[in-house]
Amino acid sequence: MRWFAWVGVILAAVIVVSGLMAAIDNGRDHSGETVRASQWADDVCGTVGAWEGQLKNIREELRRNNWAARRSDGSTGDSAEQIVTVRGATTRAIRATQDTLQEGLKRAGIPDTGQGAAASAILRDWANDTELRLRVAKAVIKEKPTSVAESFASLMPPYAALARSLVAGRAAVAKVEALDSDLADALDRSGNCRRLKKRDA
Amino acid sequence: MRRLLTIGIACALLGIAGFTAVSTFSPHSSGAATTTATTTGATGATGATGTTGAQGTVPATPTPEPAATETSTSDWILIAIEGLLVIGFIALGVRSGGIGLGLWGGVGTLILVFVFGLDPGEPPFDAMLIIVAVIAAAAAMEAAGGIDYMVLIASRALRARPKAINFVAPYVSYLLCILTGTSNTFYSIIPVINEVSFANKIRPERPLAGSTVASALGITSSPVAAAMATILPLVEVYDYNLVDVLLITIPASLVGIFLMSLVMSRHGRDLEDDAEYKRRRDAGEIQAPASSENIRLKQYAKRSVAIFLGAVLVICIFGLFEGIRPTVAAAEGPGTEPLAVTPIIQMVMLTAAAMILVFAHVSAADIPGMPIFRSGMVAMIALFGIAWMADTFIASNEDAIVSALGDLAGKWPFMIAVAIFAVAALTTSQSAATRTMVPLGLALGIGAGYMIAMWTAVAGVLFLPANGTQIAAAEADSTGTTTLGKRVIDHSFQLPLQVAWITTALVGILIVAVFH
Repeated sequence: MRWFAWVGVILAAVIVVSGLMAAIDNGRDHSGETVRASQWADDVCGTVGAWEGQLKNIREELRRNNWAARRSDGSTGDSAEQIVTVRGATTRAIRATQDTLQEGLKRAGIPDTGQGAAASAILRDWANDTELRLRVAKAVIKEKPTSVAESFASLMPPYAALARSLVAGRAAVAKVEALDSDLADALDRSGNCRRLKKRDA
Repeated sequence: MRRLLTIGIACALLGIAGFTAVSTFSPHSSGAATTTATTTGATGATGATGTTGAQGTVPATPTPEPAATETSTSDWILIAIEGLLVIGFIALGVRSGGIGLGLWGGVGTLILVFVFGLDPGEPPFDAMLIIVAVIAAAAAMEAAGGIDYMVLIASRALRARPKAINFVAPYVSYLLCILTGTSNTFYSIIPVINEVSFANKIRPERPLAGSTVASALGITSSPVAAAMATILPLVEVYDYNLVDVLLITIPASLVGIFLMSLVMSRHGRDLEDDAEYKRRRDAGEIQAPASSENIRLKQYAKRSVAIFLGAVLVICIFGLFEGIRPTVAAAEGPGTEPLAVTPIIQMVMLTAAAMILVFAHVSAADIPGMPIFRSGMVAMIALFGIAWMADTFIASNEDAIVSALGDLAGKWPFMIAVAIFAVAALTTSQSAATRTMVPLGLALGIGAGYMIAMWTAVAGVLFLPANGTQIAAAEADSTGTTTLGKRVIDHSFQLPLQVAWITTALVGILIVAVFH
């Protein structure tokens, strides 16, 4: 086959898969819209669950890797695919917070309850706080330590930032539940929220 | 001479362009995405006044790291020049063929490091050492006559339908990958597939390329693969556990592999009509396959095959059952954890080679003279250079690549499968594509089931001919039908890859639409 035939094959592949996905599931974006409380609860908990899953993956990779670890195994899908440093992990946590948590909460929209707008704002503020905490932590790692003690101490901020964010997340959900009984009910009945609570318990 | 001059001029021009670009756009750093600084910050930030909490030795209230959501134009120019350089040297390498691939990869790495100032990446040590171990065992088996015996048995089994190897081989490699969680296992059957197809006058490209792609698909069907461990925490809150994921990926992959094998069984000219094969045969570079009736088995051939296949079986068992693996000290905290599969493959294969020496009465001096040994060593050097160059480029630019493709998917969520494929292709990492693109798709509101179906697009790691399995398969094929192409994308693995991943993704989407 000539090279342009290969390009044709690849373009056809792109069109076929994208076309089917466009027809079946093109995602959802309720940014700024009012949505049913049950749907909002499902979307919010799904988003938080996926974000926590990313953090869990980062944590697992940090556990296995260090500066002396190898980065590549030749793309075989094996576990030693890359080196993960604390700074790199913090960058990834920031990206996860931006791309998954903040984007997902924004797209979840505003629940159609009395305090829906306030509830949505509480959770989005929490997501923004999380990003800021991580950026502060990354700035600390970036500064060149002047002593061994400082070197080790600079490793702590990212962990502390994430730990505080997870605690703050639970507090934010509790605040939402206290704010609006309809939302508390929706969060309680949502399948995604039940599984999230079970996983975090 | 003219060719060398052209290469020299191209290198010089790229070098000058790179040097000029680096000098002009000096802020370029090893994390390309971290260069620009439009501080979006956290508009509603209220709680992050301190930095650390528990420990007191950290500087107080430092300025937050600026949000780096965009890569500047100057960085993109640099990344584009570096990318062109990488593709250019891959093209030079595949045109040179064989060991030339690794040598040109080394030149590319040198230019990326010395001219563009990138940090050198990591050569693929694991894959290289696995090739060494597997090739030692396979060459020992060949020296004992075991390859002849396997060809004989396979020829008898395939007598009625020799083309069946085009279907059987991909499913075997897929199964091996499922059982061990790594396509490294595929290396062990590359020589066997090649010899059996050649002996049966089947164009080796058909089963070899198909099997290579099938082994990549096995990653998303394996309960013990690292990529599976990465996706499960992302989707479990959506009520998808391991079994649910496998119920989507395995049937979809089985259909994808079948259609791919069907296409490949009709792809290209038959071996006897292939121009390159005829040229090599006429030039005496390769002998026409001997009829299976004429094969004279050596005394301990069967024994060597039993040892080799036993070793593969042992690897599969250790891969599937973590509990029976030796334990090593945990990387963190007290306790132990199971040994990884990669060193097990290396140890078991070297042991198998030693057992063949002892029980099949092979002289160690004969092993380096075997054709399988030669092709394996060439593949290892080729992989060394080319994968090192690719990793040097990727390690410095992964953030920017992922960010750009993430933006694409953010604007058009229906492009998420293509974005996953592209990230896998450009980073040559299934895990990187999984951990970056799957959560993004979930945040865009795409159903978790559909994300799992489209996750199979991580097979895109084979898009560029820079992976160990591709290089090893091409090198093993002495007929010259399995190639790494001339223009980077026109390699033997492209057609089966496109057919397999598209079919697998489509069938997966249909499974989710109907059953979930």
